[in-house]
Amino acid sequence: MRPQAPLREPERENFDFFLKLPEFDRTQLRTSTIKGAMVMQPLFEFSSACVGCGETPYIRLATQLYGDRMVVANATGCSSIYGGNLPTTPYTKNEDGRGPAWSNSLFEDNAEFGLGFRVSIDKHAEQARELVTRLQGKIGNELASSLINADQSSEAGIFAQRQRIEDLRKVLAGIQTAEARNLESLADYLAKKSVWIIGGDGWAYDIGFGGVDHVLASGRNVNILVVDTEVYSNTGGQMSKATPLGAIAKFAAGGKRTGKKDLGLIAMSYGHVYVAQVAYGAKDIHTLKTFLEAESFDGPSLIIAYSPCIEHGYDLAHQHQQQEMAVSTGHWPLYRYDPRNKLQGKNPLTLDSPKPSVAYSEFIQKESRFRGLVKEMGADSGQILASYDEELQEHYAHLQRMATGMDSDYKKAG
Amino acid sequence: MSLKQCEGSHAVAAAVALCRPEVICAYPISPQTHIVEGLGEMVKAGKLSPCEFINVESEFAAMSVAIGASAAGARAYTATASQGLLFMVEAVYNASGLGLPIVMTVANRAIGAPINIWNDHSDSMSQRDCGWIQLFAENNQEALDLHIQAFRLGEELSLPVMVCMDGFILTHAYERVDIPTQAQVDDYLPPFSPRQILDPSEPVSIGAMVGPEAFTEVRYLAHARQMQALELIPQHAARFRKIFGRDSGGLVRPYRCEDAETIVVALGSILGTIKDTIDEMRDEGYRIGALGIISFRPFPLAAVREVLQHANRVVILEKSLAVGIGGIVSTDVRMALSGFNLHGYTVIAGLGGRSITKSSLHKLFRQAEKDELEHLTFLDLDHNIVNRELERQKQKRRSGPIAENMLRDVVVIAARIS
Repeated sequence: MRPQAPLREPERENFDFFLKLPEFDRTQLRTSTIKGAMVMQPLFEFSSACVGCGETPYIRLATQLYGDRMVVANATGCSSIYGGNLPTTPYTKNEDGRGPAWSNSLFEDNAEFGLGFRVSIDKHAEQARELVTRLQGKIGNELASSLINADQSSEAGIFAQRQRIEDLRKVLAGIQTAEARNLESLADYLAKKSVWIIGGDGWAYDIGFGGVDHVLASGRNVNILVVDTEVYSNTGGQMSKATPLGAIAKFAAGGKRTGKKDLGLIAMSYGHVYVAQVAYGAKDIHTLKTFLEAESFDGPSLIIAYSPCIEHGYDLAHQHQQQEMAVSTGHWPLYRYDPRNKLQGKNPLTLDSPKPSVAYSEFIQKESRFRGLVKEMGADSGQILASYDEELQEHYAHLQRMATGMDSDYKKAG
Repeated sequence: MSLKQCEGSHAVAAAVALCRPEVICAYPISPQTHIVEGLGEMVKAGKLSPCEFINVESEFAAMSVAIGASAAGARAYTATASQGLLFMVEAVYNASGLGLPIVMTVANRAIGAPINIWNDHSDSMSQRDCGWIQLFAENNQEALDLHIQAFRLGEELSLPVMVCMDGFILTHAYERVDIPTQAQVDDYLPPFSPRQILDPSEPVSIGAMVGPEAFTEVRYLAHARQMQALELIPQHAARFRKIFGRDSGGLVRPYRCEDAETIVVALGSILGTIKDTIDEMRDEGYRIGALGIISFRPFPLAAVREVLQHANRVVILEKSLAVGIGGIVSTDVRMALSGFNLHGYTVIAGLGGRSITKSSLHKLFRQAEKDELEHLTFLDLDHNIVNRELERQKQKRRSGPIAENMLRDVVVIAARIS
C-alpha cells in the first residue's frame, strides 16, 4: 500500500491517454466473434454495482452491440439503481454523441413501459416513411426509395442509412413546407432503433410477470433481458419464484421448498418468441450469439441471463467456475429457441449445453445460500439432493426431447 | 416490565406476533422489509404457530391474500410502503369496502418519480379516503402499542387499520421499548370473532354488486363506522393504560397547549423534535405548544377544535404535499377551525427524507410568532436550485431531465461549500 495522492497524477495522465485511444470502425468488425465484439466500445461503464456483480456484463455487452441505437426500459431494482445513480449515469455516449437512452418507470410495469417505446418508435417511423413517400418528388426518387427500402440488418447497413438521413436533412433544408419541417423532426426514426426491456427476476418472474407475458404475446419487436440472480437482490435477498430449490433466502428461511419456475419454457410455449438461457461466465460465445440472434429477430425476444450476486454467498472472483458448475449440474441449461428455424423446416430449439455430469451437491456446497439447508436436512441431505439430481436430469431430458423432435414436424409450420 | 433495546421494525414484529396473527403476507419493499422478515423468522422457528407466512409476488397480491384470509375468518396482517402501497390500492379500497379488519403497517416513505426511498407521509396520505383507519406513531413504543390497539379496534368495528410509522426514522432506529407479555395482550385482545365469514356450513355471499338504490347507504355506513371509531379510540387507549400501564394511542396528544398562543400541529416522529424546540422557546418566554394527531382517519375534528380554538395561530407542519393546493393535513385542520378567526400556516417539510432540524424549526416558529409566514411555506427550500432549472427551461426546450439537472446543481453547490 502506498499513499494515493502521488499516484493519482500520473495515473490521471495514463487514463486520459487510454480514453484518447481511437475506437475501432464498427462497420469493419466481425461482431459474431468474441474478439470482434469485445473491442466494440461499451456505452455502459463505471457503474456503481457491487464488486463482482453478475448482471452488469450482460448490460455492457448489449451496449457494445447496440448502444448507439438502444432505448432501455429498466425495471426498478439493482439495475435501475446502478443504472441511474444521478447525477452520474453509467450509460455514456460515443464520439458521435450517440448512446443508450435509458429510463426507469416503476418496478411492475417495465415490460409494458418498454412496449410503449416500441409502439411510439414504430408509429414515428411509419409517419416518417409516409412523409418520405409524399415528398418523393422534391427529395428525389432515388434517395426516397433507398431510405424506405434500406437493408438495416448489419452495422454497415445502419451506418449507410444514417448517412442517407444526413443527405435527406440537407435536401429538406431547402424545402419550405410544413411537411418538410415535420419530416425533419421525424427523420431519425428512419434508422433502426433497438428496444431493450431490462430487469431482474423479482420483476420478470413475480411482480411484472403478467406484463412480461403480455408483451411476449404481443409479438412486437422488443428484447427482454432478465438478469436473473435468483433472489430479490436490491431489497436484500428475499425469495422470488426464480429462487432454486433449497436456497435459503429471506421470506424462505427454511430453504425454498419448490423448484425454480421455468420462465424459458413458459415463453417457448407461445412458439413465436425467441427464447434463450445464457450464462456469460460459462460460455461467452453462446451469450454473444444469443444477443445477436435475439436482436435480429423481428419479434419478441427473451434472454434469461444467469447473474451471480453477493446474495449467493461466495467470493464472486470465482463466479466463472460457479457459472460453469451451474450449467454442468443441469441447474442452468443453455439453449436457444429461434422461431425462424421453423420457417426452414427445422426444430426451433437448440440445446447448447451437455447432459448434466456434476452433482447438484457439488455446485451448492460452494455457495452459502444453500449451506444452511444441507445442515438442516441432516442425515437425509444426501438422499434429497440425489433425488434432485434426478429431477435435473429429467429436466434436461425434457429439453433434449424437445430439441431433437423430428425436424419434419416443423415443415408444415414453415 | 421488560425493556428491550431493539430496532423499530423488530418491536413491531414482536407486537404483531403477540397479537397471534394467523396469516401474514407481504412483499419486500424498503423500509418495511425488516418487519416482515422478523415475522418470517418467527414463523419459521415455530414461535407463531398456527400462523402461516405466505410469500406473494406483489403488494397487490399481498393485500389480495390478506383479504381472502380475513374473509375466511383469519386474523391477517401485512406491511408495505410507498410504491408498494400505491400498487396495492385497488385491493386496499376493497378491504375496507368489504369491512375486513386487516392490520397493515405502512413504513412511511416518499413516492416517485423521482424515486426516493426516504421518509415522508405521501404514501399513506394518498390513501386518506380509502376507508381504512389511519393511526400515526410518534416513536417505536407507540408503534408497537398501536399495532395491538389496531387489531382490537379494527376487529370490533370490522374495519381495516393502517398503522403508519416513519420509514427509517422509526423502522430502522434502535430504541428501548417495553414489549408486553403474552398474558397482557391476550387480556386486551380477545380472539378474532369475525362479523362475516365465508363458511360453507353457514354460507353467505360477500362482495356482491350494489346499484344506485343502496350504494349511498353502504358508503354512509362506512363513514358512520369511522365516526364510531372516534368514540372507541379514546376508550381503547384508556383500557390500554389500565392493562399496560402507559399512555399510548388516542385521538390527539396536546403538548404544553394550555395557554399557548401558537400551536404546531404535526403527525409522527417529527413531534419529538418539535417538542424539544417548544421547550427551548418556552424557556425564552414564548407561549407555544404542539398538537400531535394520532388518528388521522377518522379525523378528530372536535378534539382538534377543542385544543386549537383558544390559540391565536396554528402552524401545520406536514410531510406531504398536495400538489396544486399545498397541505393535506392542513385542509382537515382548517375544516376543524371553520368559524374561528385564527392565523393558519401550512408548512411542507421533510419531503423525501430532508432533515427537519431544530434550528430550522426555531427560525420557522419565530417567523410564525411575528405572523411573517406565508400561508404556504416549504421549509428549507433552496430557491436557487429551482430558479436555475426554470432558467434552463426558459433558455432551451430540450433542457434535459429535471432530476439530473437539479442534482448536478446540488453537487456543484455542495462542492463549492466544502
